[in-house]
Amino acid sequence: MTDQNGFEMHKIKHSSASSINSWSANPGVFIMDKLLKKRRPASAAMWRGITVEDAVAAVLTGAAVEDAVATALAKFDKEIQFADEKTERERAAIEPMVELALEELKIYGEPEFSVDGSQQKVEINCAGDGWKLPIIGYLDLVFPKEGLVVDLKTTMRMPAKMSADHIRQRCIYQRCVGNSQVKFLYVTPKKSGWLEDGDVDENLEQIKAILNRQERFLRISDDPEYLASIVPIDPSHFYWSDCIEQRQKIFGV
Amino acid sequence: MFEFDSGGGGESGPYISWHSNGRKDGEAEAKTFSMKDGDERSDITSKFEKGVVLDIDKMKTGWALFGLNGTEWQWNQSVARFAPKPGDDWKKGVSIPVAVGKDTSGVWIQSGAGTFLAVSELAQQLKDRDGSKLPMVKMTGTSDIDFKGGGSTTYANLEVAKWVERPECLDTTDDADAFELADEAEDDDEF
Repeated sequence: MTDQNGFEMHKIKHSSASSINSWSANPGVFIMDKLLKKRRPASAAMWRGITVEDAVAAVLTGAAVEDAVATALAKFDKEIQFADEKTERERAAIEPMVELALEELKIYGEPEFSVDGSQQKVEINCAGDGWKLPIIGYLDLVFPKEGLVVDLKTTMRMPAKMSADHIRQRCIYQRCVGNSQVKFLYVTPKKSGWLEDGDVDENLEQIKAILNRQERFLRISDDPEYLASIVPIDPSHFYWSDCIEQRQKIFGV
Repeated sequence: MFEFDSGGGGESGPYISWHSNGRKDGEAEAKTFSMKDGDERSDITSKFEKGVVLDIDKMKTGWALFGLNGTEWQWNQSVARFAPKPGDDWKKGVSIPVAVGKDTSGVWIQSGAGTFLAVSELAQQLKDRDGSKLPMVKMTGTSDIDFKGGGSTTYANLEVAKWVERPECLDTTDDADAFELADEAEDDDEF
């Protein structure tokens, strides 16, 4: 019998919004990614998001829009080496999303990044039932003079309200940054919109409850393969859409 | 499943096809690969299970239109870009020369979901290419997928087993012949 908690047993040194959300929605993905160290392939949508964020940050810090968009498209093309009509739709969304994001953000001036130019890292400690774990995050755009932190979300459909996943992420960041306001800017190829849903205290309590359950599950066994064999799997979840074979190979489902 | 067979007629191939469902004429079982050389069709699934070499330098993707007089193809300029769909009845497809044995090669030229899914999942592994070597690919199983709009298919799970030098039988493959003479195309399923 070990004295270690579930996180320590699996050498998990921190959590994050994406990790908490992955565990909450689809624990099999968490196990595949964090315990078995088999990452899902990055999708065209992920690369769309990454390249748009990079382009927006570049323009806000002085680059020409045309150059930033060209760099974004080149990076997307380098990563997506085998295309279909879905990847082409994502590619076509990059330029309009960059332009719409810039329309909303340019009034705030130049954002601040870490000394090395990377996103600012934030951290908050969570103490649960017999365990403590830092939750870390990286802020997309920080405008200290405006007292504003912006997380840029690219999406093909504008949400009317924030998803539970995004609310958790916003509340973690809000607790980390204190007095600054944390808002999410959503951009589609055709429109943009701001959202800042969720009560911070309420959601942090929910996050603690999620992590408590996760810790108890992880404590069942120090063998990731065994945990993979008992975790419930939902094959219809969109998380699996780009790695069906991987899921079948690992989980037999 | 829609099937089309020109009857060969002595045209050169050979042409490789994936059968997510079996052929109605009984020439191929479900979840198998076949190769048709002239009028002769043989099951080459075991060759895919042992390992075949794909000429990814000559791989093409594009749109196919199935017709009574044959299949019309519109090829993309490169596999990294995909042209817009020319019309409603066109389906995504691929063309890849394949070495199935030391001295035997064919062209896997086929449209449909089962084929495209297999190749697009395989493509994720091609980023780890070793120089100019070609992938020896093994079929490790099959996957079933249901489509949101209805319909389903089964596709081959293809894994890169290792990277190998270009086999001699692929050096002589002329990709102009491969698609000009592809008067037989098997649409494996709806997409």
